[in-house]
Amino acid sequence: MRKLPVLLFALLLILPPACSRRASLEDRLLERISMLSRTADLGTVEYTVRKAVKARDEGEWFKIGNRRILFSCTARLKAGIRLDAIPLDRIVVDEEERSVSMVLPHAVVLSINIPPELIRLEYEDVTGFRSHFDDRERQALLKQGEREIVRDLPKLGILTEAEANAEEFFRSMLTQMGFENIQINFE
Amino acid sequence: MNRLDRIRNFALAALLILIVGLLLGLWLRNPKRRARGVQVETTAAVVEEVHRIGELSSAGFYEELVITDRDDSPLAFLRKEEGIRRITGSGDFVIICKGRVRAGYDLTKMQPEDITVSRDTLYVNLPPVSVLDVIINPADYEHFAGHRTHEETVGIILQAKQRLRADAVQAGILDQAEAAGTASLERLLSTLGYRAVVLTPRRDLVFRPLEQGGR
Repeated sequence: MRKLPVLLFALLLILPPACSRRASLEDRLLERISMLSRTADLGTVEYTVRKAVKARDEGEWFKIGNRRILFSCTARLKAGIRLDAIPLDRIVVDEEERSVSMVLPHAVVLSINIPPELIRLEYEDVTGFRSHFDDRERQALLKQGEREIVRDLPKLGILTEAEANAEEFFRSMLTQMGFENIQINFE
Repeated sequence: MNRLDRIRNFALAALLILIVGLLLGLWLRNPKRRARGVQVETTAAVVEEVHRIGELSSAGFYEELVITDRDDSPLAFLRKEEGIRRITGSGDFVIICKGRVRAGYDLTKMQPEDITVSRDTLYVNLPPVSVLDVIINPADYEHFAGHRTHEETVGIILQAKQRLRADAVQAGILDQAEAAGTASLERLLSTLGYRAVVLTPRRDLVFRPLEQGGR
């Protein structure tokens, strides 16, 4: 019986930090961070790319059964040029000749969008006493798929296409403005 | 059985245990066996479609938000009891998302007559600004608590995208996109030798309220 007050006192010491931890966690969850920013990107090409992500798990030696999963993802990649990187001091206009010469920056990938509705679980097979792939495991697989799409970007030729389209876009706009001799270079 | 036989039997048993132990150790250290576990294989990305666009993205919005999908199963009312919730968990599904919204002008909507030159002045009619992309990729969300199927998770992320879009519009992304887009185009076009550049963004009166509903 003598130990009871000591135990109660110890419990009182433990409880307040536990409660405050819970409150701070909830505060953190409710906290919203947002930011509005200015950009100046001219997107000139969009690639739709498809990729399959598959995984098999034979488990440890003491686990009976195995499991397999297959996802297909579709990503939309946009590339173009940054307008604020155009050197304005290198735009040369000759009004009499109706000619213009300008330098454009090389193209960059502007956005990678993998819409969730285009991520499809194509196949899942679980045998023996194994459990299904859980939320964290599925997300880890999809993250890996996303990383590989980013890794494959240089092989897709999207930047070359973006530069060709950017050149055509500027040519068309400058022709509309009355320029006859247009010279565009990428640097 | 004399004492010598007993010692011999004991030594044989010890040797046998040692050999079995060694074999088990070797098997456990076998790289092939250790390579078991989740093995991920990905195929090469295949380009399905190439689409020419002309989007001037002039404003971006970034937001980190928490999406909670409450448990609406028949067990939910039982879980309101503290004791049961401690055993079964709350049943709620919580994810933390980091999403991005891009807004600006879709310049492919411009017609040739939208660009006119009169004396030394360039007149350009711009299409109305719109939300170009709402992006939450797999790497942009973190699973915090609960369990849902893949299809349910997709539905929850779509809800998060709708909320992100509405928040971006409410934060003024369209006004920002119009102002910043006009400014950057004016800066570029004014270097082409015109005395004045007049940019007129088209405004659709019913456009903005509809935008908030999502597309």
